[in-house]
Amino acid sequence: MDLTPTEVPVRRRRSRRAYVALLAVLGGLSVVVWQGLSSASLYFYNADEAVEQRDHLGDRRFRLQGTVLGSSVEQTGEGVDFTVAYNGVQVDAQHRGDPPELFEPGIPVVLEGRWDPSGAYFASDRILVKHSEQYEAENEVRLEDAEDGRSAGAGADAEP
Amino acid sequence: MLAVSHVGYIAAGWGIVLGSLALYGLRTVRRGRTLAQQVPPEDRRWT
Amino acid sequence: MTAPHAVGSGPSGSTSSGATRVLGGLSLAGLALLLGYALVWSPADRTQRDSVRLMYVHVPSAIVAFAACALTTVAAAMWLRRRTEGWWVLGGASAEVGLVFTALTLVTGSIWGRPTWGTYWDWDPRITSTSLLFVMLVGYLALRRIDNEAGDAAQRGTRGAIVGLLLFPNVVVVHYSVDWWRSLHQTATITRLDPTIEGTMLFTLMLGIVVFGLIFAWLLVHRFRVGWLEERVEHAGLDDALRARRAEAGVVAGLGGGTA
Repeated sequence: MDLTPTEVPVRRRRSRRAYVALLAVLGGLSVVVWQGLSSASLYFYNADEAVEQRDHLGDRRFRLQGTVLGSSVEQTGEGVDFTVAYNGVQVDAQHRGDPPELFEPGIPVVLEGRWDPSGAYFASDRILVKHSEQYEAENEVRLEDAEDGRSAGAGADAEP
Repeated sequence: MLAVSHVGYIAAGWGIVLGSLALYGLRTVRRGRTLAQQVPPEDRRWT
Repeated sequence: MTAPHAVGSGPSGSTSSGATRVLGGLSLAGLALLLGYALVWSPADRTQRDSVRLMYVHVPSAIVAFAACALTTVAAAMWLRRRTEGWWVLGGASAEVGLVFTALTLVTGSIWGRPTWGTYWDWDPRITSTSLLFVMLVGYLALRRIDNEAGDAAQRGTRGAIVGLLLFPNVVVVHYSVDWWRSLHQTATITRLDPTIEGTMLFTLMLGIVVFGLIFAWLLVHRFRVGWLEERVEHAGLDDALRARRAEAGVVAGLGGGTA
């Protein structure tokens, strides 16, 4: 019982120091996490950046983001050839393997691969479709005119 | 026209979620039953 | 007044009450309605087709998981300040339920990712930060258990609570990860001022959030009561042990006042 008065202040002081230490740890941790995730911000290069830094990138493997251009998609024996664009810069890409189901003109994609040594095109072996936050009801016009790609749907849904 | 795409994915997603929630709910209620029997009723303030 | 709790109401106890029965009923009715809207009455998406129906389970799971993490952080902070049993039990309950929903968020996201992105998993900033959240919830629950068994009442759960404090900041990181960093994951759909989503789809999504909120509340109340009962049982065990000790000591010192 006579222990309590002395015990309480000691514990308080100790816990205050612990909280200060905790804050320091927290600060450090958040810096680390931020740095880590920011370097993952090189998650992909946009098409224009990839072209700009072509020499620097060399034959390194990286990810390239861009929107698949309208009539550029061409099935080849081993996969598919197409052109992506970002910020007005176009990049020809040759993909080996089956593209994902949602792959189609007008959709933004993230390609994994490297510059071809010739520098003429991007050799990709993995396509990820970057779905946008737009959700629209599928309509019959769209189904029938699916071949026309975006134009049919865009026309039907065009805003005034 | 009425064909639904991606049935497998949809069934898997919804099935796993509803199944897990049902199992977890059941487990929690069972845990409560077992524990409640070891405790006098005045400790179960909600009854 | 002394012993009305004798036999009648006692033996068949549970964590149910009027409130949980109402919550449970609403949850089930809402779930039926949600299934109708999510799987049948809402339209397929233009690009995603029917795989968009996974959104109505993925997004509500995620929102509930994040709410549970926020609640855990509040409970952890209050536990550090007040050290009252209610906050302790709430922290454990919301973290456990939150862990379930975080796991479901990751699983449904993965399943949805396959038909839409073309992959089940990718270390995209949002997926990475959500995985971190999952690990932290596991860590929080583990530390609680370790600290609880360590026995020192004053230090009980302090380390766990510190992890608990970090949960909500991580939720903020998860939320903004798609804006701060380049990400495969789409950016926010419904927290925008001009939701970029068709009417029935938006309604279904909102309904999903409400229904999952109800299910979360139902689970949380039950789980809270389980935690509360656990405390009672533990304390009862402790009291018994103390009583036994005292009785022993009393007998040894000859102060027992005879036998029973």
